[in-house]
Amino acid sequence: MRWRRIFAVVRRHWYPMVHSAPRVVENFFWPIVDILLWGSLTLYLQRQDAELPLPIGFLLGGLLLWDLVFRSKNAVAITFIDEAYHRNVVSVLASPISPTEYLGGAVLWALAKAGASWLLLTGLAAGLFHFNVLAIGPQVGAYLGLLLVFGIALSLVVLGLVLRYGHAADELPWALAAIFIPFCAVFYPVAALPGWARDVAAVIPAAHVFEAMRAGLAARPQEWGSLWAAAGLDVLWLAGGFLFARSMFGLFRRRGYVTRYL
Amino acid sequence: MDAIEAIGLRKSFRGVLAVDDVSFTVREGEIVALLGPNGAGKTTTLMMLLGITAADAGSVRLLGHRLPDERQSALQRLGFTASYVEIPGDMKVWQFLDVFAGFYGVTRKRGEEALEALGLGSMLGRTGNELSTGQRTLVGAAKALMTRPSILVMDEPTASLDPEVAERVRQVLLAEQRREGFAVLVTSHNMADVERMCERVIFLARGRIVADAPPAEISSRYGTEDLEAAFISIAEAQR
Repeated sequence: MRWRRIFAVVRRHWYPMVHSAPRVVENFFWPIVDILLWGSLTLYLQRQDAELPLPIGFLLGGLLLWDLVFRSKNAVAITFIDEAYHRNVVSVLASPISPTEYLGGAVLWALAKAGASWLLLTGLAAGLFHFNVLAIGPQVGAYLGLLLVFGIALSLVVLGLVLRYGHAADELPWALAAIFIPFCAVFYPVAALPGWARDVAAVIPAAHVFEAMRAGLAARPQEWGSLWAAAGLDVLWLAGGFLFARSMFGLFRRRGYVTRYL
Repeated sequence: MDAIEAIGLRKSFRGVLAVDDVSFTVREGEIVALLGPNGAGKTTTLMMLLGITAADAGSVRLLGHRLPDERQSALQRLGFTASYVEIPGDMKVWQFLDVFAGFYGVTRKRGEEALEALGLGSMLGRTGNELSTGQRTLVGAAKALMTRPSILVMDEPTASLDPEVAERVRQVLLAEQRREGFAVLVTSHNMADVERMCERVIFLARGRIVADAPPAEISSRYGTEDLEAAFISIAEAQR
């Protein structure tokens, strides 16, 4: 494992961003739209003085935390899709960089991108809607870490599918979020889900984190059990994602899928 | 020590044999062409030599390093470029070279020197989108040469270039080869190029080696005036 190669992957994706307004906008535009939408909804509900079972901040809290999963999940797979789009896959594969080093660079890049957009979101939530992310509780750092790891695990699954199905799977990074978000219970308690969906949510780390977040916002005792469950599931998801991506890379090599990128 | 040693390479895709028991060597400093009609198995063979596609059977050694176990050490000393390899349109040339310098563990200055040697020193600040096809090919060549490789592998390096630019690319690469003494394995459909550049030709048809000899010997063996006629003769015989 050479850090020099890992940082070269980061530079590979940083350089085009520096002088590409559309790439910068892509990273910040949708988060801004989301915060304006959900922030406005939060303000509206607050003004209605409606009886809600939770402090209204759970909407913005959910959004701020979910965005981190969404961004980190996308960024890793998109680094590879970007290489394919720019006909750079074969050059990378023919170089001495190992799959693990490439993945390490892609994860670092994902963290940098997700972190930058998250900081912007957090600032906007505070500035425009007076939502302090620390209101979620001092455990917010643990929530962020757990969600980031889950996002990276999902990204490995997406990367595996992209390696397996090529361009046909290019839309998956976005589609996968739509599949997972109902089970993650971002904006409602897991108890609101039908029975079978609760079973699915039980094995998704993010669902446990959002449960813990809502408990924190409602000033209920911290649900440490939820956090430990999320941590255990994260380990399983990360290991599963890594093994899946590695196995798909093996298939990529055995079946000669590189010809898709010639 | 051979620069490239391929023994008994075999690869099939969904039951169709693409490469069948291919064995050859390329000596250090030797320039060898891998020829064959479309679908003959050239690119599959190259991808196995680079460790990108796994062989069903057989073995590859690059500069004595066995693939896939010692792939990183082997590729450290191998330059690769192809007509289908491009500098991303939204990257500047110096950035592209900087990234690959990082991958290969060399300084970016080496990339800039290689670019200078190829006559494109003034293009460092341009993006891929601002380069012509010929210039992009040369940037790809600079990327391949900046590691001062012991082996240069090129897949159709001058395809889609006009004859004048293709000739310039060829001359520059040959001059670099003479100066640095690296082994070259090249695929091309331009037989005149191959006759001028290569000491030896390995001819693939239907995944098998059907000839392995200097260009003139292949022409004489097939009773043709030049390599192009021999190519047509071999390809027709294999249909």
